[in-house]
Amino acid sequence: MARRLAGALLTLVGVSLLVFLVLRVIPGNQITASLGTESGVLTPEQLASLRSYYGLNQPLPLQYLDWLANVCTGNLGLSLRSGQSVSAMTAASLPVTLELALLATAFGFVLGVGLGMLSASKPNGVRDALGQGVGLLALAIPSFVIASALVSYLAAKFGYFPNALPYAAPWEDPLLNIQQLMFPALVLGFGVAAPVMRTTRSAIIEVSSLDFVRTARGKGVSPRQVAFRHVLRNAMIPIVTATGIQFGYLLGGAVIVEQIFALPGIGRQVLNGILQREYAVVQSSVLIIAAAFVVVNLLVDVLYRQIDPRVRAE
Amino acid sequence: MKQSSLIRSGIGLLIGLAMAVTACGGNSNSTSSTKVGGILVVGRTADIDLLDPHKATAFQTVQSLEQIYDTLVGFDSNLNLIPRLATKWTYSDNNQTVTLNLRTGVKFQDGTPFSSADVAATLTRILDPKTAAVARSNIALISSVDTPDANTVILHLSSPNVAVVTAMADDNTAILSAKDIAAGTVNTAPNGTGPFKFSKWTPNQQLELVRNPTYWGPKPPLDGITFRVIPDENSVVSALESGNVQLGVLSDPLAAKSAQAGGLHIDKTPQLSYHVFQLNASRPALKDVNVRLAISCAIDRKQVLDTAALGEGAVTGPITSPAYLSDPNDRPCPSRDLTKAKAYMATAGKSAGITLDAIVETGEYATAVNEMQNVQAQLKDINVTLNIEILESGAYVQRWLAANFDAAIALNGGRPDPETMYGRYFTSTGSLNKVAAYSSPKLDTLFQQGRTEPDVTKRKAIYKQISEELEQNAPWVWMFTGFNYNVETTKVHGFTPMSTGSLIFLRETSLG
Amino acid sequence: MSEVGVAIRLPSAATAPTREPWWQRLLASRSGAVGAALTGAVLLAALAALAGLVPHDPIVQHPADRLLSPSWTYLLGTDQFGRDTLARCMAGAAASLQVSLLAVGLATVVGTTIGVIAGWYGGWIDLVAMRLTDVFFAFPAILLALTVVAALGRGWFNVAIAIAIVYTPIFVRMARAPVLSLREAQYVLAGRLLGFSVPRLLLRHVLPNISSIVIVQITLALSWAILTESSLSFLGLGQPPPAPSLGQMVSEAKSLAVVAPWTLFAPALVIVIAVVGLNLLGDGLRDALDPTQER
Repeated sequence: MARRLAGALLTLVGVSLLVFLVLRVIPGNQITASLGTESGVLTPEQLASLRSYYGLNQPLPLQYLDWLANVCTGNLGLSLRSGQSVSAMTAASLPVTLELALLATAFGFVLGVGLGMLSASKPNGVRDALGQGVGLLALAIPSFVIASALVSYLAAKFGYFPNALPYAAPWEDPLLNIQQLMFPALVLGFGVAAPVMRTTRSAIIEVSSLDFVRTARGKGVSPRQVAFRHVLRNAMIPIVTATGIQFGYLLGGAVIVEQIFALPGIGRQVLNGILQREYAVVQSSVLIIAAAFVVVNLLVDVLYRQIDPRVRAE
Repeated sequence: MKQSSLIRSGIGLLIGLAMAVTACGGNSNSTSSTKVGGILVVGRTADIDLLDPHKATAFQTVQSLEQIYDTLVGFDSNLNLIPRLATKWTYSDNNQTVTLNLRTGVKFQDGTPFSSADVAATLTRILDPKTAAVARSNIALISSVDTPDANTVILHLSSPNVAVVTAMADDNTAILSAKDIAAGTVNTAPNGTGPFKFSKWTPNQQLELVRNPTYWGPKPPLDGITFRVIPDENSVVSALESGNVQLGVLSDPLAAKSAQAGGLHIDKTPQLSYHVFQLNASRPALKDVNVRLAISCAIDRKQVLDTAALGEGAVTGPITSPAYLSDPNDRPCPSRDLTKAKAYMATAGKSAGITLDAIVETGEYATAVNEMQNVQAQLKDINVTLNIEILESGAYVQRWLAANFDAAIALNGGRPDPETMYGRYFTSTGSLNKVAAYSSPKLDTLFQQGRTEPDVTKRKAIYKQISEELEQNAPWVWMFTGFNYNVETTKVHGFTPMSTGSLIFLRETSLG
Repeated sequence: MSEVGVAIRLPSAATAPTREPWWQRLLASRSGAVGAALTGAVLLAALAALAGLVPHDPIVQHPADRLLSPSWTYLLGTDQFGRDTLARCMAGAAASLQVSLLAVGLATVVGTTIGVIAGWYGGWIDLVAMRLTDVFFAFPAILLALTVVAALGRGWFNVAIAIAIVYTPIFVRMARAPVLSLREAQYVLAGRLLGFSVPRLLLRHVLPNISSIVIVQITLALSWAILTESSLSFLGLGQPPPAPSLGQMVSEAKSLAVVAPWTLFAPALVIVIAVVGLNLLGDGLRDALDPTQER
């Protein structure tokens, strides 16, 4: 366990280095990003003072260590344009993405398992084709097409677009919150459903062929009970792990849906940061997402080990 | 068929229930068009980035802050100067001194009375290089400021320049309270003299303003304005259709077109910013004016407008401000003239053709690359080949500032005053002369005349000459101005759009 | 993102290949056949576009023919600039495939090489490789891709690099796993005892046995690359205009959904067909190539 934690920490350091370096390669800096062509009007003194304000005059390794040291003490840096602390921004945006990811994963799980069970009930039959077909379609249609089409249609036909209202946190206005999140979660959930379906299907097929299932059938247990109590329960392990992994991906991958549905999530925060060359915002936000991903993976791993006695024996 | 309609009505019912629950304080049905009350929600694709008007460059930021702050002078819808915090301004001493009479009885939103001391402190702050204020270069000619009494400000200019006063209509010269400047709270606690005051900023989500009860002007009908961030333009249109947003600011002509289909009201206002094909006259290939004129004559500007921007705009000459508007037909080739163009090329001895490296920016505005494409296609007809480099914004800005190009497609910001608009480009000492790559003694003289002539009629004549001079020498090929799109629901009344894109007349707008 | 965890069953040298060739098996299975057909159709359209066999030039604008619904002249209608949608779809397919093939090709070569070496030598090489892939995995994929594109600038090549960077770690992991066990397989041990050089062992004994897994992953990676390219275009960081790319076409057509729905549906449909086809093909290949896997 300790080894895993150390590994996770090392991974995060690696991520921090990666994001720091990649950002520095992007042409332009915060000055040109905020002033555009107007930055040519600055006098050398103005330019120098802006550079030191943005911390651009320090050597790169120093900038990196400075930032990293701050992160370790909980100071994630500042958005230099607006003066907000990245911690405050993230504290507001991360929960939004988390809730979205949770809902999407839940929906994807239900849909995926349902389709998977459908497919596996009669492999290579019509139902299998249907299940796999729907799953595949869900994966293949780009998320922004579905999202855009959904928003346009609902607004034009029904005048309905709850995301045009300010974002409501679950404890502020639960009903509005659900409305604002249900369609984005639906769209993202489709992407989750496909791999979950595949895993479910293959896991069920594999488990169904095992001896204890045949025994149960032989004993006269109803097919429904066999399906749920015997097969599904034991197939859950790979299904849950696959679902958990998908949840991790959603944390950073929801940015497009966040854009279309105007959700103030962390994906958008990173995107805006990249476009505005807000180094601290991007670095710290990406680090947080990576940390969340690593934590989720660790949890899934622990869960897996707890559930699967064979693994525990290792 | 039956089943799908059942499903449809099922969805409709569900959504109807949802809507019923979320419908916040409905608007009362009033037939009066100047109904007082209600909060207008403005939907736009980006958030403000800071609260300090002196540092604000982002369009959305300026749009919002000008509701909170006042400037000394302002614009009417034709961009003629009108009084705001300054009621009168007079020139003296060979136009090197400007005396401003200030409005009395004005208070800041925190209750502090407004006086000349605030104006002096504001101007000092802008002129201070350490502030890195955007408007600094526009008012740099102010060498000193006197405040003989609480209601008078005297500006001493190092050289006469009439445009300095116009520059003070710009929100980047918003008048701040001397107290706030000293306390350093400008970027955290906005405190102005404008019709709306700051209520709350939820970054990346919305900015809320409420009516200023002690505003010196006519009471604004709206209780407040909320600027909401909706990153996707199509989603802004959807928001308008849902009624959750009442005014939308769009820049994509396609999105605006789809709004039309939805039964909303669209205001199309020609912008001040202009789409231009810049030529670098300092490069060997373009040094000869005949080559540049050939290019200017070979481009059908309307075609560029139609193909790149779907005709959403107006062909333009150099000056776009309504008060000083250039006549787009006042150029060597008012319409595309290939014969003349080829003749120019022959005079220059370049009938065999030339090749130019052209840069264009992507990601900032929708039509850039399409414009470049069309220009490239048109110039083929006179054997001018464009090698196009499509650059992401950061890289483009670097190249543009360094004038590292033969030609460039650009969307340059316009200004109400032609001096501020072009003085820095086309005078030999202008800060952006390198980018313009052209100047002449004649232009220097004309610009000098323009900036020192207080009589508006005479000024217009001078800038007409400048416009002609620019077209005759074709350092750039001015193409068209786009439209600002403001889309409103039927509930919005009394809104006057501006060519600057400013929403300043929301102070006269009402809902219902 | 497609899952990486593919059940690996090692072929033993003892199973004599006295069966029909893999492509016959591929076409015999339903998913294989459909997948091959769909992928083939997209590929054909792309090749036709590259050969110039398009009804109209995809870039040329016909301002007079703006926003026409499908007709005999313009089989899939025209867009807001009067450009032929069908031609643009074909050219877009070619562009998207070009980016995807380059990206996945790079990722496969680099990733498989690193994975095989890491799995074979083990030790600290393996440790470093695993740590690095962990880092890339933890970095949110789409954000990594768009950061790279923002860094390198737009253009199909840079988009391909960005996608390759995101996908390489997957190939590393995927290639490494079987190598760990293959290293101890009987015939490989024999080869090592006999003194065969490492490259020979890797190339002639290890690689062929992981090839089926790699090939399957390639098809899945291609489908993901196509989707990612379209996502990047939506965010404004994909391939820049005027060259058509499927993602960029869909992004532009969003506003036209009501006025000219064909401009949205056509490229979206091509994306769907390509992705579905590639996935089915991957499934079919998985069955056809892995002789011991039961269905």
